[in-house]
Amino acid sequence: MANECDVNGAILSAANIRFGYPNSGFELGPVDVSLHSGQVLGIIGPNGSGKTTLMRLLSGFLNPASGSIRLRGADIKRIRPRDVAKSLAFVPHQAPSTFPYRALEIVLMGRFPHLAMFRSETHQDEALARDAMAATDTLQLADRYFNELSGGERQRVMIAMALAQQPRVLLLDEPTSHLDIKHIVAILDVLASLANEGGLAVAAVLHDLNFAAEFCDRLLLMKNGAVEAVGAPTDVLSAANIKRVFGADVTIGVNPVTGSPFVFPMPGRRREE
Amino acid sequence: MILLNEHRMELMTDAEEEHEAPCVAEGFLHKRKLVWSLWLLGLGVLMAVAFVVGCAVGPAAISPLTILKIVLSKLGFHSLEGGWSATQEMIILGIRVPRVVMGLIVGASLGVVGAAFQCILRNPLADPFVLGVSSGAALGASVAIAFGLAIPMLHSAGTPLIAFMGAMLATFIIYRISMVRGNINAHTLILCGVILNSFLASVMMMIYAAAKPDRIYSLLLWLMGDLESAGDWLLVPMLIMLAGMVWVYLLSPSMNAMTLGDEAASALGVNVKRAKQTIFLVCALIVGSAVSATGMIGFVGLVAPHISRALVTADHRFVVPSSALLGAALVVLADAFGRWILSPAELPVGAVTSLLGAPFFIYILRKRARNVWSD
Repeated sequence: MANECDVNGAILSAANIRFGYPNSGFELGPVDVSLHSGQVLGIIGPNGSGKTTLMRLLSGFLNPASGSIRLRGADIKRIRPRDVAKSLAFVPHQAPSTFPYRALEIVLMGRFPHLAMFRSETHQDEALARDAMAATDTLQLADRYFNELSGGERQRVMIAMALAQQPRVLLLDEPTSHLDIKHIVAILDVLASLANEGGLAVAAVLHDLNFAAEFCDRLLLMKNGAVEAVGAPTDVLSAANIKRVFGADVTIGVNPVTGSPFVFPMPGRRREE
Repeated sequence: MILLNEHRMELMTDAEEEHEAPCVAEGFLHKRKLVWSLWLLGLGVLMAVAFVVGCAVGPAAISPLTILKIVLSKLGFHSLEGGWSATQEMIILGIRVPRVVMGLIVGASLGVVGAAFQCILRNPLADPFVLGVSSGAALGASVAIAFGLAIPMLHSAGTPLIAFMGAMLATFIIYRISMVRGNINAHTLILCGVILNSFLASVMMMIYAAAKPDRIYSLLLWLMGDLESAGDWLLVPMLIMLAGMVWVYLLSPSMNAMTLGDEAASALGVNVKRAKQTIFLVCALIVGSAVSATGMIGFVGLVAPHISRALVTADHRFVVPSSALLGAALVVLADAFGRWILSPAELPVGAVTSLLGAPFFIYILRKRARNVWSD
């Protein structure tokens, strides 16, 4: 799969991208990011630091004002949207659920970019959709109406839809924000195994620093639209970085089983001691 | 070979029985194909019945069988010829069939546009008239009728042509206002439509105030929807509507993705900007043609998609054709009812669709509310 990557081995890379929403004053960039096959990249940072904007740029939903984004070596703007969707899937933070689709019908939409004109899904597509639902623990919801599901269930169905897309690159904007701890662990396990065993490049915006530390191979820390630090969790999650970026006082420990860094909050009354 | 088939049949029935369970069975697609086909076939039959009923209602009593024979004989079944008078044939082919065919096409158009607008606006209240295109047509027609404008050489086509020009002018205005950086924003679009609708309504009020009473009466009748106007020129709007409906149907897979929001649809490979623009412009052409040819026939465009979703699925590959068949049948049946109930006077078809449609829709909404729409 040599042709899948560009020179530095990234399957999706953004070089020197900038972006600003008109009349908002918010500026992103210049940012460099690269996603590698087999790795999970966690994107962390305070609210309004540009994580979602970065995701939208990487997915091709927004076009950068300058700089370029390359998918499998080609400029993403020059690839037909449908062909982008064959190798890149993006799960937005929230999807409207106005129409009474069943969960399985939603997941089957993930096969849309792979369908030829005037063709409907085959049994193989259905099997892929069911596998994706099994992976996100949503198979028992297949027959339920998507708009009747809870926030967390919807989120898992949307992730199943992205998996049914069979992408090489998977981008997720806060995929765990509505989930309980069982399903956070389960979803992040799925993402990690898709990367480590399936060879996908995964990038996810995550709020919980400890989950990010535990499940991601690399972390990208953002502040005010710029990258503050990028690298292994042990390097990025330092007390100094977190103080500087989040303005929070913490101390860093270690998960006794896995050895990953763990962020402990420091209450004000203990700080003075 | 036969044995093999029987064996397979047995396996299939076994499999189906096993999976009658609450969860969607393996072979969802297999079942879906069957269910969709059966429903579309059923709605097609309903439309055919509506056609015959529509042709049968009228001052001269002609039996449905005779109607079928006359129509089929003209469609190539020459062996059926004979057994009816020339007058009967003239009434059926010259008066009733054109009217019913126009009703079918307009009804189908309203259903399709309703489904498409509800999709791109992601709003359950959207109908073909929500965006103000129809108000443009109504204003054009009002001006033409109230001031007795006529286009030389066009005779009866004058009013519809001016109405169509009004519709296209309104379309242009809405399009220019609601386009923000090449993207059509659903909320802006709805707001524009509401504002344009009320603005044009007040312009029309001014025209009423200035117009002669008899002209106001014919204007009101036009606004309530009327299938009577017939003529060769009607082929033009009919062809626009038919072509437009096919176009919208071809976009129905993308419409499914678009219900998940711009971001998700774009991630699935839909060019959201272009798809929205295309759907809006094609639908504006359809609505403009429909309203200029027959006036405002309300309610069909709102309910046909909702009923389709309540019947089977929200998948637009089903909802679009189903809304077309249902809309066609509803308009023709409503028109037949309107001609029958006050015979020999006629109730405008638009009044009937709302009169009968509203209670029925409430019934559907109450009975199957959950898979009609929710948030």
